[in-house]
Parts: sequence; structure tokens; C-alpha cells
Amino acid sequence: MTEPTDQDLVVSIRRGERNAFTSLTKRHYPFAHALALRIVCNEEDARDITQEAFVRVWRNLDRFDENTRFTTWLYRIVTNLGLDLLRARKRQPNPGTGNPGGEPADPGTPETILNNNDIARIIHRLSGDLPETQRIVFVLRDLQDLSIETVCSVTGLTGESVRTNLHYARRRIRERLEKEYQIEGSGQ
Amino acid sequence: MTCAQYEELLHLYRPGERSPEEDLAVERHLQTCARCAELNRRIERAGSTIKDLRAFTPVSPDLQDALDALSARLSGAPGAERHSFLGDWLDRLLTMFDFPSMRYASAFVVTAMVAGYLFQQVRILNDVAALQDRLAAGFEGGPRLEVAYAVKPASDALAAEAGEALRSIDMSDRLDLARGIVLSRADVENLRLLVMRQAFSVLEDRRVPGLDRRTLDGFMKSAAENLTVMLRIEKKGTTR
Repeated sequence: MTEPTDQDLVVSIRRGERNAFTSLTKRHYPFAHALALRIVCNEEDARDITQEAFVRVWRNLDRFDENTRFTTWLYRIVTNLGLDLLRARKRQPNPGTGNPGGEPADPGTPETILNNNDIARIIHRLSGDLPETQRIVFVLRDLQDLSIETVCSVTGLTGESVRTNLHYARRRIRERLEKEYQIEGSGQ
Repeated sequence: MTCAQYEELLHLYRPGERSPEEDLAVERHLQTCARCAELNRRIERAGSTIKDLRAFTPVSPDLQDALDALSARLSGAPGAERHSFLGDWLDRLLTMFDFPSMRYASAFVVTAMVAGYLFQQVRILNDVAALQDRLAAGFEGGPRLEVAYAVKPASDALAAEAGEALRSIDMSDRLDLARGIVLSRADVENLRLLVMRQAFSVLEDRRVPGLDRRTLDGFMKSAAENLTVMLRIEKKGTTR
């Protein structure tokens, strides 16, 4: 028996099947959480945002446009919640735990075991001071591995705008990597 | 294409980010430009590190815990199956404001509308004042201009309905039309708007019995279409 698609589950939820919502949540929770963590760079905030995103999904599912992919809609909700949090942090004089700093963690190699806080710290170190749009485009494209088309759908940006923001984000991150992690292009 | 333009293309190194034509142009350029070739090596190196970082997938919280917490929040919360028409419409409207672009666009539209309204009011008053000065300048001894107005209703029936309210703003018996003064179309329009505003004010203040809102609206619509603006020039010191 084939797995129900997201659209199938949406239809079932609209019929009042709570189990379908559980299935949809299980399917997409890890990706949504990873996206939230990579945007806000804080585990606790990421969990709150992910939960809030699924609450909004539940409350607003009956008006979800079936011509849109469910994941695009979900990522857009998570992204906007993440942006709201980043803006709220900017307004606070003391960002506290939401703004991980300290010594730069070593990006290392995939074999290295990193916990979520390590990952958050590295990402924050590399992209924390990027302008909002560059940061979101970088996270969606380079860390969440979404296609350019999906990034456009989630952010509402044009393809050209995504490319421009991606270019500036990668250039800043490359310069930071070269400066702080002594990563150079000589093939060392 | 300049090296600076190639730099942007070099940073767009993942599949699908450049067109086939751009791929070809970059490939050719790298064969002839040592500086860009060196930059490309550095970009590739940084790209490799970012790729490594992408491989570190954050560990998701325990799904059962997450679902329990979610379920606790959703119990009793309005769900997908319970919506009134009005609540549905309101929720939909509010949901749109989840998107920053909607918030900015709404703020911009409201600001533009308020600014536009204020600008129009100020412009009308300034234009009328300027017109008064212009007209007054043509009279020896500093004459005073007073704007008066007359309303010609579309039909007798409407006039009867408007009753006392209509008579209260009909000052035709006191009009003394200025002669030899040419008004531009804009002058007339500005005066018309000013007079309309005054007429509204008079009608609202009077609260004529039996003159309901619908009749008033109908009357004002008709008045707007038939309004004639006249000017009364009153020499300074003349007793009214």
C-alpha cells in the first residue's frame, strides 16, 4: 500500500481525521525544526517556532491552497516565524541566549559529531550578521538544500533576487571562513 | 562582461543556479583569467565547507514529546473543522498579516491614503486662499471675497424631500455675482469641493426630522452633479 501524499493527508484532516494531522506532523517535523534551528540558531527557540508553525497549520488548514505544495506553505510559516523572532531580538538591548557567540566552533568534517547547539553556533558565526534576506536565502538554499524555485515560492522573491542575495551571502561567508577558519583556496 | 560580473556568477556554483550560456561563459573566462580562476578555487573550497555544514542535520526533538506538546496546545483550540463564516473571514484576513510583506504593504497603503487625503485638503484650502487673494487684488480698497453657493436639485421631489435642509444652504437670494472674473476649471473644482464639504456639515448639523441617511445621500449625490458655484464680492466695510 502506497503512502498517502501530503495532499491526501490534508484532505483527510479537513474531514476531521486527527490521525492524518499526526501523520503529516511526523513527516515534516524534523525538516521544519532543522529550518527553524538554522534560522534562529537556538534550540529552544527552534522548538517553540516549530510547534507554533504546526499549530498554525492546524488552525488554517481549511484555507490552504491545494495548488500550492504543503511543504512550501509550511516552510513559509516557519521562515516568517523565524524572521519575527530575529527582529524581536534586534529590538532587545540584550539578546541573551538567542544570540550564540563565544569561540568559533570548528566546522570540522561530517564525521565529527556535533550537537544542535554546536551547529547553531557555527551557523550563527557564519551567517548571523548577514542582512535578513541574504540569511534566509542562504539557509533555505545552502543548508536546507531547497531548489531555487522553492526558495522563490517560500520567500516570495524573484529568481534574480534570490541569485543576487545568494551571491552576496556566499561571498560574505567565504570571506568569514577564510578569515576565521583559515580556509583558503590553495587546495590545502 | 567584467571580472566583477563573473564574480557573481562564480558564487552561483550549484546546479540550476546559472543558465547553460552562463556556464559556458564562465568556463571560457576561467581559461583566460588567472585572477578569477584563483577566486574560483577559493569559492569552491568555501562551498565544500558549506556542503559539510549542510551534512550536519540537526537532531530533531523526540517526535512523541513534540506531538504530545502539540496535542496539548491544540485541545480545545479552533481547528480546521470548526469555523463560522465571519470568524473564518476574519481569521483569513489576520493570517495574511503573518507575512511581513503584507504588513509592510498594509502600512504603506494606509499611510499613503492618509497622506493623500491630508495633502488634498491642504491643497484645496491653499488654492482657494490663493484664488481669494487673486480676486481681491483686482479691487480697489481691499475688497473681501466670500464664497457662497447655490444648489440646484435634480428634481422638485428631491428638493421637497430635502426640505428645510435644502433651504438652509440655498443662499441664492443673497448672491451678487462677480463680473469679469475668469475662473479656471481647477478653481471651480476646488470651490465645488469646499462648498460640498460645507453643505454636508450644514445638513448633518441640522438633523432635519424625517431626513434619513438614505435621502440625504441621494440628495447630496444629486447636489454634487448639479452644484453651481458662485462668488460674492463684498466690498470691505459693507454691511451685510
